Amino acid sequence: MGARVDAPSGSSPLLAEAQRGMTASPFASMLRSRPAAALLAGITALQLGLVAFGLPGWPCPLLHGLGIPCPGCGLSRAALELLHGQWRAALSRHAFAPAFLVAWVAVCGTSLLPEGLRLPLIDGVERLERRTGFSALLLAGLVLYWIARWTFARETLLLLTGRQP
Amino acid sequence: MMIINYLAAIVCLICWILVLLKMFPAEGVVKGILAIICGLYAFIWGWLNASKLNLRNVMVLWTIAIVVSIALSLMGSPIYSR
Repeated sequence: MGARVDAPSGSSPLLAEAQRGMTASPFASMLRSRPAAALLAGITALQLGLVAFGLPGWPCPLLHGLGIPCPGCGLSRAALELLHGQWRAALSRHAFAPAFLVAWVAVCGTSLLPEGLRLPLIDGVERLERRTGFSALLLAGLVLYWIARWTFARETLLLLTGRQP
Repeated sequence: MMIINYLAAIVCLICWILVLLKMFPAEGVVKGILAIICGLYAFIWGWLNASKLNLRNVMVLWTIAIVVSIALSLMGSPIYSR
């Protein structure tokens, strides 16, 4: 009774990976792949650059397709405001801008640093992640923040993302 | 122009959902939610795993839709406001 049913062959690695993603350290696992981290860092830098020059950047599928700002909408502009020292404006636009910038710096670091420095950094991030669960907490907070803004400050949210309320 | 805009938007949305459907079982809930929050992450992940998860056609289509959206936006189409 209660015997564990093994997943069909071929899907066990996926199941194991999914379980790892739920319980382990998803952010650190993302940092471990240098090409993936470099790609993410580079494309994020490109996005920030495009937004900084007032050019069209990444078209958010949710905003573009359904007219609903996603939880991450406004982060690029908020991050740029933060980089310019405009704390109040940045936090008004998106409260998670500081967390986004810290994450981006970590991603940039792990894509550029030599192995001798990179691996201890990733190990440290993984330990912190396992101990605090910060990835899941941040994502949950971000979703709750988005729900609260959509529920109580929809017009402001739409204006911040360039939409008409 | 507007019709092309809307078509590109729908294609982006569909491709994003298709990538999410592959991502949740492959990467878990946390990364799946991250991909919902940040479509850009879903896009990058899709390309990194295109061969492994049979997503190449989806990613090519998504990329074309993005390029079309950005091109129309540069040409002055009201892509970000309705």
